[in-house]
Amino acid sequence: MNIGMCATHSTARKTGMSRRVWRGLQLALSSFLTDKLRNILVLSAVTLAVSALTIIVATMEGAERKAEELAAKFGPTAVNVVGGDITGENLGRHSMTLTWNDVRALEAHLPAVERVSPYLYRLGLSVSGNGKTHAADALGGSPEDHGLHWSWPLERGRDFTPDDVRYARRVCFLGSLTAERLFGDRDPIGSIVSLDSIPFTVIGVHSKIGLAADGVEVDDRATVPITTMAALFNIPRERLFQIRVTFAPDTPEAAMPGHIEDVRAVLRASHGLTDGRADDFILFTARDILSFISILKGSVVLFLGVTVVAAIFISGFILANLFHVSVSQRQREIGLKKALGATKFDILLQFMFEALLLCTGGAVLGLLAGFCISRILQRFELLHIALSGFLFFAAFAGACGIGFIFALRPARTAANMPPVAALRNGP
Amino acid sequence: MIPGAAAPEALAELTGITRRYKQAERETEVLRGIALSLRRGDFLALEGTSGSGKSTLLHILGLLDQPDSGTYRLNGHDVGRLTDDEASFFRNRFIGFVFQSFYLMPRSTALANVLLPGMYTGESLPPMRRRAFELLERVGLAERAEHTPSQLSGGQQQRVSIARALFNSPDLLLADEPTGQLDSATSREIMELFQEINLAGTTVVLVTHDPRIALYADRHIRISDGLLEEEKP
Repeated sequence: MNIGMCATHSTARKTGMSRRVWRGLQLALSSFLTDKLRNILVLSAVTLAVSALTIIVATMEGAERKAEELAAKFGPTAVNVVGGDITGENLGRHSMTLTWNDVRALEAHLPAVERVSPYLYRLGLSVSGNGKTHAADALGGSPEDHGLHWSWPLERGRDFTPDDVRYARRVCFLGSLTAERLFGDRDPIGSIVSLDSIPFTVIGVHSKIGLAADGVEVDDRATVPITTMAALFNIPRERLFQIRVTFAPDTPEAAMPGHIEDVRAVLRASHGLTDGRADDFILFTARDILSFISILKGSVVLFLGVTVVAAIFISGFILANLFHVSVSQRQREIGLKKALGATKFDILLQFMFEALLLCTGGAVLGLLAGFCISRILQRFELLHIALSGFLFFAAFAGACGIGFIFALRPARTAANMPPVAALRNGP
Repeated sequence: MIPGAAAPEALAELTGITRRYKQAERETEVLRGIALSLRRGDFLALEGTSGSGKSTLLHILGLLDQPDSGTYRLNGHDVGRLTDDEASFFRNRFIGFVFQSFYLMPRSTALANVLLPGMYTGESLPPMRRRAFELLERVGLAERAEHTPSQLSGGQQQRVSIARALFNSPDLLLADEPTGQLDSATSREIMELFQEINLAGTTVVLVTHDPRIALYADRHIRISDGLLEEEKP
């Protein structure tokens, strides 16, 4: 071909390049409707993959927010001390190594501490009231201002006063679940309930936490003043279930690791633990909750990630196969377009646009399906979901990635088809 | 040939064109040294029996296929060895095709079918739509511009495909058995349209095995066993 003509050719092509890309999209729009079965199947496959991706990402983000919520509820400047080794024992059955001496030692040796709150606890409680009896999961005993110091505000009613504790009054809070079981929608404040046959006046209802461990619902309990519990219920009086150490709310985050180590040192000294011996207590902080969730999240992400990748690959293979079939069925169209002047790039562009259009459609449908399914799961409290901009980005990027990667080969096959063979072999 | 045209110049020059195909380990030489000169304004009928090589020669003339040897000059350019995209460019700008089976896009309107070659030029849409409509007027189908091929008769579909072939004002119009699927009355109308196009200055090469159709052309070349027979006067 002569050089002058070559130059004319390439200039003409370059000047209209953006218009030709736009034309590629127009041609894709006008011809992709010809292959309805392919479109339905590709749309379904991409929709399934994107909805799986949507649910998984929404769930992971929901779990992260829930963890942050829990950590905030726990209190960023609080340290919970649990006696014994609860990692090897069921809740409530572990060895009770904490005592009132520990409370006094912590108060005496840690000037930065704002408050040290002991907590008594026992599993199982028979609660009667409003003509009903309910086997609650636990009974707790706490000093005054329980809601404030345990970051567990009351939904209704008032907290324990110093007098309630000093005079070991028979007043109690009910967990939200316990209150609902006995009183339904009725307000239980002021009602008399029997805790293991001992009458108590209900003065408050705990706000709902919605967590359970080892089959013990946190919201299914009654809490009484710590002195009342020690006096009226058959529990070892000197042994505490938990101690909550609270530092001032304005304590900088960076100072907390030091404070935690101070708590550990005081308790080790109080328990007479020398250097070589292991702690006989466990310290919990908001950071432990977050790191536990992040470890959990890491393994869940890995598992769900593999599932999503598998879903994406399956839909990609479906797309690739259907596009191969489509290319072979549309050989005459390809041959004709090449005969009329379409270059390899024009044909490639048309098929790539068709794939991207289908995948974008699949992304929209997948997002909608994912949202609906997530909503249903959330309604049944099976999981917590969070919807974010990242989710939209992930869904569209995932879908376009499927389209781009898996349609490339069939599109190249179409682009490289010799026009005569394509016209001759067309159906 | 255009009546009264002075010293017609060569539009296409083919010399020593050969083309072989390999089928099941056997090589068949379909074209065996073709030499052909096409002048501007020619209306050439390429006649021959099935398998004589006439379609292969038409494909080479239309840059849809490349010869194994020989030279081909179109509009003064050596087009015997083009890349795929260069061939696409030449086909788009200089060559129009009319096929026996029309090959229209089934879901597109007549107007959209006619402007299809323009979709690969980078030209803006409004003038292309105007030109497509004018071409449909020229082939007598202006009122059918928004009809899809299934709503048109065979003859009307072939007129649409002729309008499409003329869209980029080609120098060379190639028609492969254009009346093969039409009745005799419609075939006559279509051939009259080709004559009209030729009279307006477009070089037409028509492949046919039907001597009655070939009569519309003013040059007649017969191809047999891959060789051109002497041109009939």
